[in-house]
Amino acid sequence: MKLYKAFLHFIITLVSVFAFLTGWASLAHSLKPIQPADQKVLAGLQPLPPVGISFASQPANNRIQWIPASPKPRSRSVFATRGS
Amino acid sequence: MQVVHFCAMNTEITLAADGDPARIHQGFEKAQEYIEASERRFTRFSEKSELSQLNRSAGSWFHASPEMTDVVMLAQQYNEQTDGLFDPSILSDMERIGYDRSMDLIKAEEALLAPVRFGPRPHLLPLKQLIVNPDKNLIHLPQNMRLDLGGIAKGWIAEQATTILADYSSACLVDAGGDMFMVGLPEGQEYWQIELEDPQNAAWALTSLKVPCGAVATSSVAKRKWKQGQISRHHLIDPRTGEPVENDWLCVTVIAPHADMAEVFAKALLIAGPHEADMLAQNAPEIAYLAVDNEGEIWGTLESLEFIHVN
Repeated sequence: MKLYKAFLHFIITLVSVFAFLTGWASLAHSLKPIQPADQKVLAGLQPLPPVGISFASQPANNRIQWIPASPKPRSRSVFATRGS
Repeated sequence: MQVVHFCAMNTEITLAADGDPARIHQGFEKAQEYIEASERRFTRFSEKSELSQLNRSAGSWFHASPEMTDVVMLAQQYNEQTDGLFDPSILSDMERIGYDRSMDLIKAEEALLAPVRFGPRPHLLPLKQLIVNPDKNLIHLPQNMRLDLGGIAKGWIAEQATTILADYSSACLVDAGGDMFMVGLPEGQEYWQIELEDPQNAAWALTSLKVPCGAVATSSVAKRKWKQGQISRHHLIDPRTGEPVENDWLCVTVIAPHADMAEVFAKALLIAGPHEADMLAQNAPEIAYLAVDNEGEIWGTLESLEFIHVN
């Protein structure tokens, strides 16, 4: 009986150690999370419009998008296009 | 760069050019002469103009100048390309809503209010019923069709005048009330910098564009406005309804290889509005466009982003 118990302890310990090492190895070889250096692939995306903008006039299709304005007083030395 | 301003075609004209001052002065004179002569040819506000004579000839063949033949052919071509949203035969609708005199006269008389002439909309004939024989410069308008070539002629004249000025200059620009055509590049520059005027405040620019040679034109419902009785009117008519267009856009700016194309598509895209504009723009892959809505926000396609100047 004593011999049987010792054998059982040995088997349980062996299986536990093997399972731990298998888990460790799996994690070590899994895909890594996105690193800052990889984020350049997102650079082509446009910034989201600010929350305050009304979308009432947003076009129904997705080719037209919001473009940030940079309002400033008109410069006399630069040409301007305006409605006629 | 040397610059001159003068008034023609009921708007302010700007000529700008780089190069030898004496040559440029000569070029400015030639370009101005050309613009003033073309205005006399294409105006609908003079009984003597070639356009008025053409309109009176409806129902029979008219012997036109090569210039008139060119512009009428272009108008017919753009009418098809814009699925009818550009239609120069809406002159009766223009007059019905009070735009029966030059804008200077309407503005001067605004205090008296333009006369109200409501009534049934005249039947609009399809523009393809108009026949042009370019070899003989002959034009046949069907009976009861009359043309207003104001916008398209303005763009076309701006481009022709720039070509004249380019003979005297290495880089030049003609701006006819916002319809611009550019040849060459200003000295030391890689593009022309063009501000997009805020349609609600002319003292401000909403953004700045960087444009190589070619054309830029803007069409707006915020300009050329008047009162007809108690009703506010503007000059941009939707040919489908015969009434001034109403949607969330105030103006559309188009960048295109030709000034007449930029002018026509700016108008047609503004009439199409936010829900139909992009489908219409696919009929002209060579253009890029930006729209400003009634809250001052700018909308455009990815292609138009490359023309935005970033400081």
